[in-house]
Amino acid sequence: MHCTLVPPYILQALARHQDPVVRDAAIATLGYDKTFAVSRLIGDRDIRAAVVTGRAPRLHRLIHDAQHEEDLPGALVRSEGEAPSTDVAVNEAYDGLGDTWKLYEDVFQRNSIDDAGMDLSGTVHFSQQYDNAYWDGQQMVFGDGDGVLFNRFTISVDVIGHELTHGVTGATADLAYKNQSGALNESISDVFGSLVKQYALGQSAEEADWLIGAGLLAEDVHGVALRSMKAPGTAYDDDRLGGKDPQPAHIRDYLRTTSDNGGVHTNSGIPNHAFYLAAVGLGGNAWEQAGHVWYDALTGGELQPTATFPQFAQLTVATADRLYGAAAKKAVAEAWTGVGIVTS
Amino acid sequence: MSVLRVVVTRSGGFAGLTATTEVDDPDEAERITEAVHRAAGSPAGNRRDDFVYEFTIVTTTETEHVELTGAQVPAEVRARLR
Repeated sequence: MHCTLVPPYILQALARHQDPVVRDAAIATLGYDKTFAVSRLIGDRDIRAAVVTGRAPRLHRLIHDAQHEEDLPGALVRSEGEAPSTDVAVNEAYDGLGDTWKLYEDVFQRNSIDDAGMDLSGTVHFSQQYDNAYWDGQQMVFGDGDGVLFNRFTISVDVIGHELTHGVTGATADLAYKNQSGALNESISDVFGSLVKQYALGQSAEEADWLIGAGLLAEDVHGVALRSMKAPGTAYDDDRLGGKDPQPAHIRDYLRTTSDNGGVHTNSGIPNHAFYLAAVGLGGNAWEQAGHVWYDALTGGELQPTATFPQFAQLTVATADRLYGAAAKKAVAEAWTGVGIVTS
Repeated sequence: MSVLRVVVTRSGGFAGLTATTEVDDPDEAERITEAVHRAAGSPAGNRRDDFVYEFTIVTTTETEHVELTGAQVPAEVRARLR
């Protein structure tokens, strides 16, 4: 039995109050922490978010140094609020995680990876001459590159946004990391990685470079980045990287392979380009309508872990219609048609 | 049955590039084969953007394919493709 001097219907009204202080106090008094009771009662998504997280947005970064070994997380070298390090990789990781957190909080009202204020943990200087960055299920890991083909993997903020977004996908739709669902998982990471950069720079869809990993290729490598969402297949052309950027921009060029979990880093070019076309078609800043459509499709609960390209396409078209109406629906459908995927 | 050679192919990673090397020295091929068989029982992990390694092990009697994640492959074997 929950007793209070204020009648529940007044608390329920206060739980919808615009002032977050009043709202949170009312929710806490209602005693509904960690339940969906309030949201079911009132049907308000913001209240549901407040109830689930049970606290204010929380940014807490922890940057570690593996000191060229492979033990994770390594030595803690910069915590939230501490002064910059003399180590550029440490500061890039710290700032990049901050930029990523800010996009998710400001634009999508997502409170960190798990929407509950989870620590953002990153490790730099992993292993030796390590040409990679990855998400291990708990934290982000960045190599220094070999210095000949690749620079350090913290150099490009969209790489940091890409890795953190793997955490968001894991906490939501959890797209299986194989074949088309795996390529969608990769594409989601590129989409939000690019949005982190665009939002930080204040660039519209027309102004953005839509590159993934700009600055990552060493100086004399023939290429501008690892991937281009605007023009998949054009990011680099260098024998030392195995030749030309192999990403397709259209479903007719889908790569059938058993390598790389079914070409997840290659076939992601198709949904990547669809997002670019949608963002340009919808106009303005990509994190606004296009970003919200993709974010809602990812986190809304309808996207299945084994989703195919057509299933994801259909969901984004329906989401665009629901959020923004017929013109947005048409723009997103045309974007998918542009990569050879027809929706209804 | 003895190991003649091992072909090591690495794909995936953030960059999605593929690299291959071939180990023709029978002694080294044997050592890599033993390391690969040991590693196959270790946790694959749940990394995103990890490398994927494929080993084609050619012996006097058969050809075996083994796929491992970057989390499974020991450092001395990974160094072959650095």
